[in-house]
Amino acid sequence: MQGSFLRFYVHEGRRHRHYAVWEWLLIHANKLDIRGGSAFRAMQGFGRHHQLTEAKPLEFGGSAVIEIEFIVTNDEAQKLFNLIHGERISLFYAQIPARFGVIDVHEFDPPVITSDG
Amino acid sequence: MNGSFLRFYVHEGHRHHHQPLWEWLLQRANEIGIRGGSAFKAMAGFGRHHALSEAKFFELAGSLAVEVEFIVTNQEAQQLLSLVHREKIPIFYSHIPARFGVIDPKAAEPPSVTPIVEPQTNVGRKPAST
Repeated sequence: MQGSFLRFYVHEGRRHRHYAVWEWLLIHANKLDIRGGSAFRAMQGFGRHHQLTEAKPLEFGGSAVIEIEFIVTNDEAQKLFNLIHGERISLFYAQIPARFGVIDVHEFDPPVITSDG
Repeated sequence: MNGSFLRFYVHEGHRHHHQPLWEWLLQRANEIGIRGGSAFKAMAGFGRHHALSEAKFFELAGSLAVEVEFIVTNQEAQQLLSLVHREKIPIFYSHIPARFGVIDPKAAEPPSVTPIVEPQTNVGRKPAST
């Protein structure tokens, strides 16, 4: 299936409606029936404000960068953009074209790699 | 904005100028004004030397793979590749075309999902503002 690899970046401590933004996003993407998403904590990172952050526990003043990613069709990507925009959350994203699917063991052949446009 | 997702793979224990290489890369990239980067530690991995490393409870310090990644314009990607080349650091990279931007709550519309322009065709063109 053609679609994209969609990533969002957020600070660990940033909150929305009493949830961490990364958690809120996973919960609501799941409710929208997005097919899958995961969150990863960076060891260190920097963003728009050019301040290096480090993955120390929050109580020790750490504020790690969390990367939340989804593998989606274009329709699903648009749904996620609409959701975030509708909730007025300002978020950096990156969208990367991707092909995805399940390796179906009941099929005779594995998925075939084609040069996609 | 069209650009790319640029990733470097380094060993946790690889040092450069008395500093872990992954940390050095992030700091230098930040100093030259790259818009964002992060480092992630792998749970397990293998590379050119085909030695599989894994995070165990009593882990061998510095044996794991670290991904250092940047979301950049093509010009920024070139700056980063030049930096690494100039410092003579032989590391593996992957460069993937990507579209990026900020979801702006003040904008009337969310970003629209459109086909991604290959970065090669975009070189020298003024990046569209998102």
